[in-house]
Amino acid sequence: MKKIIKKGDILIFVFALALSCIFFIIHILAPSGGSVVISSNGEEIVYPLNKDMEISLVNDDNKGRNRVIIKDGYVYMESADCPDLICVKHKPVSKNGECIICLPNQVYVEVMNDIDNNIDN
Amino acid sequence: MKTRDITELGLLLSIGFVLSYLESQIPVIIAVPGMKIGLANIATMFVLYRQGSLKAFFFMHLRVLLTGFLFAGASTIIFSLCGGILCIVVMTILKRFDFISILGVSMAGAIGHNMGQIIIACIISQNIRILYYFPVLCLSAVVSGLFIGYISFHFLKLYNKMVTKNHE
Repeated sequence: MKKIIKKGDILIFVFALALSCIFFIIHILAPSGGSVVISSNGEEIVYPLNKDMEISLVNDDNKGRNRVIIKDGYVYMESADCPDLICVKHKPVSKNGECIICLPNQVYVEVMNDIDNNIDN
Repeated sequence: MKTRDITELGLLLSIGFVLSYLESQIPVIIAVPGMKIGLANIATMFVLYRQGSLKAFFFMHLRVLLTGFLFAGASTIIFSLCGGILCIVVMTILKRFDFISILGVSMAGAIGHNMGQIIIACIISQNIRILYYFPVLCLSAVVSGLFIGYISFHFLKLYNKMVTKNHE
């Protein structure tokens, strides 16, 4: 325990940075999504991203309440009654694969691309 | 187990306790679940380097249980326990290598901790999308791991010097 920085430390540092950089690059390169998948109570509903709307979600036990808002091609959680409010503080999302998760209320909001064309048919 | 080891463990547990409380008073700045400094892990690093990984394993889980019941909820305990297991395992393995110092061990431990939490979150919610948080949590683990490792390094150096001086 004499020298504070050793070879292995740099290796771990670079490895961790590279790992998260790869994920970030994938994230940045992701195209804008076309639809929003909101799942709560174990059921998934798909909404278009280009139409402004408000969605109120209530859990089965009448406890978990979330309000999701779609506006100008962005989705965000306006209000929730979960204790940590991490989902409400989350920045609005618009890109393919981005999501907002409210773990206490088991609500998942995810942006998807327009693969679900069969909905229109 | 020597009396001094027992005293040391008790003292470190209370220090970890206070540090956990201090951290719970710091408001969350960035809204990503699981992102935190982990100040109490300074105490865990102390136990790991002074008393070995088996004691560090029990120490960490005792600390998580105690602080969990006091400052956080039951769900936090499950996350922290699973993160803690992976964290100690990773740190125990990496500690054996000579070319990795306490900084690297601390960093890898933090990454392991966050990874364990993400895995358990995926299992509980049956949803793989939580992996989306991994890059952010990985970066934050590197930063906090470096910070905790640096502090632990200097405190351990001071402490070891003090203990050997008193012993003579």
